[in-house]
Amino acid sequence: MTFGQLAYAFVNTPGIGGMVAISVITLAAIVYFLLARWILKGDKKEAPGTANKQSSHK
Amino acid sequence: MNKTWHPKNEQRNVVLKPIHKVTITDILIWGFLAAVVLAGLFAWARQFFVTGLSATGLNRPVYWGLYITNFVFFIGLAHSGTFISAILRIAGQGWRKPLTRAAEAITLFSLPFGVTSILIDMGRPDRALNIFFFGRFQSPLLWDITAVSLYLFSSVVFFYLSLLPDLALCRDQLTDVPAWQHRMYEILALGWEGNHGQFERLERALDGMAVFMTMLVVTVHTVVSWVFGMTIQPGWHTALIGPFFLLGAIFSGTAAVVIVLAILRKVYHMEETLPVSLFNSLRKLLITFTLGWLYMMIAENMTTSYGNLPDEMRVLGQKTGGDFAIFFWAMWVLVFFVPLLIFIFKGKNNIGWMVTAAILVNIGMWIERFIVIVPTETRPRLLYEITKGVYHPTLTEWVITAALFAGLFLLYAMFTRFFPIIPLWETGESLEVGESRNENAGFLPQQLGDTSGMKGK
Amino acid sequence: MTQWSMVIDLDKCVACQGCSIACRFENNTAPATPEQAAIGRSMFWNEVFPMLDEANDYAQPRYIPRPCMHCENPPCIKVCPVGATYQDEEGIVHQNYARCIGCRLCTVGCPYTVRYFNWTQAEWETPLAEHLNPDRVESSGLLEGPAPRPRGVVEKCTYCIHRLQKARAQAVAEGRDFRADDYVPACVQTCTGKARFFGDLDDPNSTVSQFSKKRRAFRLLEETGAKPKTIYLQEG
Repeated sequence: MTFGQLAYAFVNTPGIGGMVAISVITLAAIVYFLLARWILKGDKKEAPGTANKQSSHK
Repeated sequence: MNKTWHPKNEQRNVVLKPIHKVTITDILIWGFLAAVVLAGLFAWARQFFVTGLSATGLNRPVYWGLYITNFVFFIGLAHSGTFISAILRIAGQGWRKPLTRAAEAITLFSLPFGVTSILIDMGRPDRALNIFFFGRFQSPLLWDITAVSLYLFSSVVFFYLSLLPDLALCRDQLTDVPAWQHRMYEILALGWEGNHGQFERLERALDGMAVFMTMLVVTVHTVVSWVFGMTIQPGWHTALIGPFFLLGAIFSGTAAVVIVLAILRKVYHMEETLPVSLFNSLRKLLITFTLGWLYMMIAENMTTSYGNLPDEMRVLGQKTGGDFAIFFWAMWVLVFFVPLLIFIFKGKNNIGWMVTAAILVNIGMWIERFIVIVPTETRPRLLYEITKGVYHPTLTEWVITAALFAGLFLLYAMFTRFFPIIPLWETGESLEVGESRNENAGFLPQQLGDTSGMKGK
Repeated sequence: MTQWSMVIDLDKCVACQGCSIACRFENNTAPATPEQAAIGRSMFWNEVFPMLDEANDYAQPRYIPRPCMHCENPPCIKVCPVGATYQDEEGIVHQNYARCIGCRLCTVGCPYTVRYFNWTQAEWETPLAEHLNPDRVESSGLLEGPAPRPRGVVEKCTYCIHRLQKARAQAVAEGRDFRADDYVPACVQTCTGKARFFGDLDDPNSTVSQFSKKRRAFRLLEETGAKPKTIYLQEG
């Protein structure tokens, strides 16, 4: 199978486009979830007294 | 709970004031808007269950009409927020800060209506999921689905992240609100504590996302235009359609920001928080966009008329002297001549004139979307004398259109009553360095690369 | 590989519109009510267009019948988001009513405007309703051919694929090889002036193949690059 055929099969096959759309959204969901968690962690060591759910896991 | 640190902001009371209470006027306005939305829902239900798309004025060859126009318009309107908050963030324009959230909220609330418009336009909305089961990536519609849903999702995240510190502020400061509302802030704030690291990471994340959002904005409206541009129909099949749609989107979006700001300023008495200088900054942008619109318009129509290809000329003739001439020339007046004159001669320091021009621009841009879509369909390539198209939108289409706009206004109006519409943390005063070092948290705008405060230029 | 193709000799066409009628009954194309027809919602898989010469006081009317072009490079198939319209190996452009979502991207994408949308639920008057063509092409997730269409999907000329299927089945039943002349669409069969020819464009000896090389042969809107397999022979 040449590259051209592969590319054509990629754009032409029903179902693959839907998978692309769904994977893009899923990937974004994962990245944004991690990003939000990273932001909320902040600098924990400077805030020992702050009691909240976030500090229960590290 | 009170350990949480919040940036100081003189405007805090002004900004939080609208949240304390829902007035009778609010209820009346919301009720009216909700009634329009309900009417639209009813019209849509009737179309969905009883009549199908025969309730519209669509026909062969005018297969797309008001619904698709609305789709393009709402997606365009959505570009306001991202332009103000992402592109101006990258450009380091500090004056944007007070209006970021108000602009992003337009994005957030108009995108869903764009997506809804597509569903309304489908012959078989019950089969919408086929797009995922059998999606073919060669179809421009799949590009749309991917780009628009990613854009919607990213906008929600971008909006929410920058809302976090203010949600925490609401949680800590607004103790007199109803219990459910307070509980909502508690949940949504995700335990934000406002320590220095959080603020620093938030700024970094928003800066990074701004770059990504900018790329998305360009992508989204370009692929929206490609639904038309990728076909070989005269009037649509031009490389300029992408950039032109994009410019139009940012143009109408920025004009919408002017309208929203003026209303907020008036209704919620935010004269101090939203100074006239903001309008003057927006005015400069809008003058640029108006001229950019002229450039695109000339580039497109000169190429068409000079080339003089018969198929293309029939479509152009429909616009300049045919069935759509009144809309075409009205668009020129509404989008270009009057607004440009107002922006240049009357707009400075005058909010009333700015709002007038902004409203005209938005009406005109809606007409422009219509003018791009429909005339092409009325003059198909083959045997145009016989298959001439005529399109008269029906009441159903107008009611649904009105409902979509009412829905946008309703969501927006309700949002401003439950959430601070001015980002308090971003417009907050910078702290003395020593003071913030002593606290367990801090917010240091200077260190994070921002130089200009909220006062504008 | 067989490439189904149709040749229409405009010199022989008498504009009786027999093809339109034969097609309507063969393929169960629903009639539109006068109100619907008045706003441009009638359906003709095979339409006969009058090309009236206004300058010449309508003295010499010319006509052009137009079925689907079954393009080699169909613009409609490219834009379909769900693969509801697709081309088989023999060059026929199919339309799957069971999968179509009614977005109408194909209808605006087709330069020949041969695609029709079901604005209303198809209905027939009583005597007509009793005489619908029972043929249908159907399998899991697939509904094609003359099967009555649900509201909200797109439909178009299929070169009568159900006839192709039946001809194939017949050949199998008779224990012989299928031949290209075992099958013609209804419009070709009915044509009063014998103006229509159907066959395999890949076979250099077939009628359509011979005709396609004539000097009179032309295709509609050749500049679009869609390469129609419905070929016309010019008048004169």
